[in-house]
Amino acid sequence: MPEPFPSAAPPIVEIDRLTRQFGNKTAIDDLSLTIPRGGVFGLIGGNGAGKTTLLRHILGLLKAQTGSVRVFGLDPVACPVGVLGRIGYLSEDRNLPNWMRVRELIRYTEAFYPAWDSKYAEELREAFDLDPLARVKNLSRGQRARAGLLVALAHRPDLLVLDEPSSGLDPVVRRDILGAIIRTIGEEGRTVLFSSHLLDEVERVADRVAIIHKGQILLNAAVDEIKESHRRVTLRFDQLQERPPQLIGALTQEGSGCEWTYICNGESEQVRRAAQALGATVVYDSALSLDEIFVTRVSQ
Amino acid sequence: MRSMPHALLWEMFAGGWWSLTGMTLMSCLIPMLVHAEMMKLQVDASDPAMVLLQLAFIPLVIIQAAIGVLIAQRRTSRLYAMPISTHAIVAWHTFAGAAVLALLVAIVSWLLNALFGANWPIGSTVLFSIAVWSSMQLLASVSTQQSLPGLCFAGTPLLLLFVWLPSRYGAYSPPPTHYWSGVTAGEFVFLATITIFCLVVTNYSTRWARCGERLPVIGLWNWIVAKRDAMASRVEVRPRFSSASAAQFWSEWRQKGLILPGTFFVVLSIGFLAGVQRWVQSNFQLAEVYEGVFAFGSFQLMLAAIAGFVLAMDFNSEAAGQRETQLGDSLDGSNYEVMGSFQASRPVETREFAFVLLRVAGVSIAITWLMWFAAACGCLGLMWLSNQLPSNYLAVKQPWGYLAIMVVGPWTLMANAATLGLIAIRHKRLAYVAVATVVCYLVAAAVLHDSNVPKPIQTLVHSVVIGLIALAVTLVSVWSFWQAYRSRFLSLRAVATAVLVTAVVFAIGIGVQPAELTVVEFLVLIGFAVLTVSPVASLPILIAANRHR
Repeated sequence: MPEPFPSAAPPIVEIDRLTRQFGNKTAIDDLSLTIPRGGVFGLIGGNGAGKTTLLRHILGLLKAQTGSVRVFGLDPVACPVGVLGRIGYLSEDRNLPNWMRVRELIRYTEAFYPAWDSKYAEELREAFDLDPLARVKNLSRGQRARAGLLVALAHRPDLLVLDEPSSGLDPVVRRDILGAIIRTIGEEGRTVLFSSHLLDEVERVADRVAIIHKGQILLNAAVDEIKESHRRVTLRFDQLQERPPQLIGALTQEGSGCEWTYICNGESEQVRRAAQALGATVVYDSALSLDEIFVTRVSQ
Repeated sequence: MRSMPHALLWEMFAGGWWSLTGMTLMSCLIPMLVHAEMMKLQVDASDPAMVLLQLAFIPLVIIQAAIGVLIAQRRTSRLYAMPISTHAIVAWHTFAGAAVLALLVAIVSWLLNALFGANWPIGSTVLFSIAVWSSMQLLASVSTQQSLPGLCFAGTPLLLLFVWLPSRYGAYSPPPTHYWSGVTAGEFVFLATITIFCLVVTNYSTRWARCGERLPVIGLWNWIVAKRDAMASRVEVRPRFSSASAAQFWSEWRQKGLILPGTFFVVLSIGFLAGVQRWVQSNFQLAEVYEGVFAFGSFQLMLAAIAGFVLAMDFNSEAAGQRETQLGDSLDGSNYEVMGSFQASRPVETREFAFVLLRVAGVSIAITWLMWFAAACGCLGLMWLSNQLPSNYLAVKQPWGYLAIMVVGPWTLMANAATLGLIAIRHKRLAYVAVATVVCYLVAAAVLHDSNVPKPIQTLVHSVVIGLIALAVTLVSVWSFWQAYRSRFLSLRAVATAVLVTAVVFAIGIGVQPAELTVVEFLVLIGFAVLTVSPVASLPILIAANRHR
């Protein structure tokens, strides 16, 4: 039986006060994050937010300058075999050996993973419609993504790390195949960590989401929890207001005169009580999409 | 910028001044080293050996400087989306590059003449470099289409130029007899024809590439590849790899393993042909062929060093390099090429990566050496059949020393070049600074040579510098072993074995050079002995630094 999400088991990834600088630029800034075992964890952020840098630390491809990274309880830099042997990784740049044929790529990758499932690899190859004789350099961007996904999945990893997995995939593959794979792995009790800036996709497949911005985690919670705790409310005041009155939990506000619209962090009842305290009535109250929450949080 | 030529020139100098400076310095490094040695031996510029040296160095200088210009110019494809005609793109890339290259070649020639009393003709070399540049532009343009027949076609003008060059020195009635000092009208027309031909074909090639079409010749190639793939589908895929290490070795070997044996085969064939030519001229004395083959064995050293640099590269690193630059990871401001994320995320210990590379180097060298041995034995067999066996089988003055160097030298050079390559890939500017330091030292040595400083003091200065370098090499190697042991890349047993091998190589060195050693010679011998094993420690450290940045 797969464990319920979030799992009571020890977390699969523990990052503590990680900082990474590239020259003068701080890519990760004193970031702490725990990723529970099991389920689908979405990492969302804009371009240059630090998603790829964070994932590369988890894989041990970048060494922590300060702070620590633990994956399966191990340091990925000190124990690359112990960590990488249990991870399937699809990089954003789809970095694969260009000179190999698809079947050579499969045979080559197989040698690194004792748990490699040849039958499953063949099923995936057929599902992804990959010609075994095609050279990797001749594959289209979408085909490269599929080939990368195949070699990341076929050893049935405990942790699947996907960096912008949708990039280059057509909508059908993205929705049907990728979505199905991510869900299946999540339901099998294994963990999927994926980064994306396609928020509808994250909303569809992720159980838990972390928003990363300028190298810091702004929000880290279950998707439903995030959606329930963010609301758009429109308040009507008895008198004209030159400035928006300060509503507890308000993240943004806009409007004029007697009607002001707020985006708030808090549950519906809390917001209603806060509005009453200001002497206003709630004339409109709605939940926000993940996309709206992200934009609000990031643009603060 | 007011115009495209301004913008292109600005871009070339602003973005590529490191590669322009670095590659130009590299291009004059070897000629300077050799000329410095020749100056010590007081060889006159009119000596045939000096003519031969110039003939060998001109292509080296031009090609290295041209690579610097190509890197500085960046790919033509970045301009495809701009509102500029293809003619303009090609013309300005070619003209701006040719002007810069001509200037660089003129500077290098002038420097060699001024510092070492060499007799490099500037006018003819510069004209030749312009034709070479045009043909390299053609090659670079066609190389974007990744087609072997296209490359063969595009490489023909370059090959033709380098085959033609020796004839200007009278080299086809060996040895070369004179410098190519004046350019005749015929030579000018020949060079201009090649330049214009390359310019026109580059224009066509770029036009095709800009529209996403391929050169017609590639259609034929694609058909052949499709047929070959259809045949390959009937052949069963290779058996499973026994281990991750075996798979990694297969991957590295397929990419880099045959570079040294392949290039040595070409060089050996040239040696064989040179020997055959001398055989014909010397009344069919097979000893001439044998000596040609035997002497060309020393090319193993140079080729091993080049192959070592290639060994350090990850051919799929480009995307990773671009990625790092996007992230702002430009430790020293250069777009270095790092280990690609696919390679770096393989669940293999870093020491396995290093040992696989060293294994590839070892097998490459063994094949190359056996090739050389087989060629020499083949010649000896022919000599035995024709009753012409030589009295000195090893055909050199110090046969055992030569053989010892031929056994240990390629390994030391290849493995250490891989180490240096890994440093240079990560820190290109550091590599340029190192080369610049050596060039500065050579310039200083040349100035010292012509000064009034007494010879014993000059010798002492050089001895101190060489001794310090040897000492530094030894100390850095010892530190590498300590670090590798601490990081668990090497076991205590491996370290002990390395010490033993160093001692054996040192003892062989003492045996080959039985005369009493000076302190500097002693330090150099220790440094050389240590270098034979130091890559075992330094490679895993550098790979780890590249893998877990």
